[in-house]
Amino acid sequence: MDRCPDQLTIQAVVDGEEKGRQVVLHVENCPACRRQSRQIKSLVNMADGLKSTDKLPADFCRLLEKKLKPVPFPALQVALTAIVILLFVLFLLGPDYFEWWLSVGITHQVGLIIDTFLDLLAIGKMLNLTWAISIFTGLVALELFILKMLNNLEGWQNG
Amino acid sequence: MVETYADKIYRLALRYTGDRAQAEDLTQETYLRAYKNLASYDHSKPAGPWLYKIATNLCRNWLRDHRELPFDFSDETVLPQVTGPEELYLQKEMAENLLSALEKLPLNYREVLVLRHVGELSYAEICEVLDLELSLVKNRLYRGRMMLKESLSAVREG
Repeated sequence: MDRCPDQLTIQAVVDGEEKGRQVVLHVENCPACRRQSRQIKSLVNMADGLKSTDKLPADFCRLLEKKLKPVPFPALQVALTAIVILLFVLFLLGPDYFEWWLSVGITHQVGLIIDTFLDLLAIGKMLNLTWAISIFTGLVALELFILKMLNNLEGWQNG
Repeated sequence: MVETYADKIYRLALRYTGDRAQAEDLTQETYLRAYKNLASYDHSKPAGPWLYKIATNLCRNWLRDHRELPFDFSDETVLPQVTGPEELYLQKEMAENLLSALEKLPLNYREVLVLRHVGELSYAEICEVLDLELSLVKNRLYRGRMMLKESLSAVREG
């Protein structure tokens, strides 16, 4: 190697990042490059003073693990609440509801549309099973309530 | 991943913030983000640069929001072996001056110096963390070291 490398290359040699044998040999043997190399080494030694031995508190890993653990979904509570709501709505509708449900009329058609919508919701990929069941149950309850209103309009209760 | 890099990331965050509690929070946030984005991590590569990248971005955001806070120099900067209390005092003062000098540098030079001298990253890893070309990293490292020397002289005189 005839020409002296630039400062950045000499710096890379000092930092152990330049592996080119010719360059390394040149820097070792050329007086001008050696002088530059010494200057850069003193800069590196000075900047190495930034190193520290600080350590995280001993309980860091435990606290991190705690934060990473997912909060369990309250499946039992949600399922019980959904069942209570459903039973309550069924109680409101009365014993003749299912007989009426099967009858032909505008309420039956509306029921079919709502059922289809609910099925699409329930098979949604983004929902986990418990959420799907909970939402499905809640919406069925809502559907029953709406049908009850429509049924009143049709005068079913009065025969 | 936590055991290997947590202390290193903490030290990096400490050099950005100068505050132990903030550095600890930023380290924790780095791992929470990493966990959340685990799918984007290329498992064939070492985790270090990926984690440093997350940490560096968090530290930048922190600096943007807390620029006015003064540095706390009461950390354990590595001090060479000393013989007496007078020498210990001088070296502690030297370390404090160095951190003070570092704080006065522009962020883009400071980042390269911190990643190299605190994080002990290679040139290639610094390129990856900061999304910079190799020539730019070399340049910033060289100029950053020169600027640190000048800044240190200014701190000693002032």
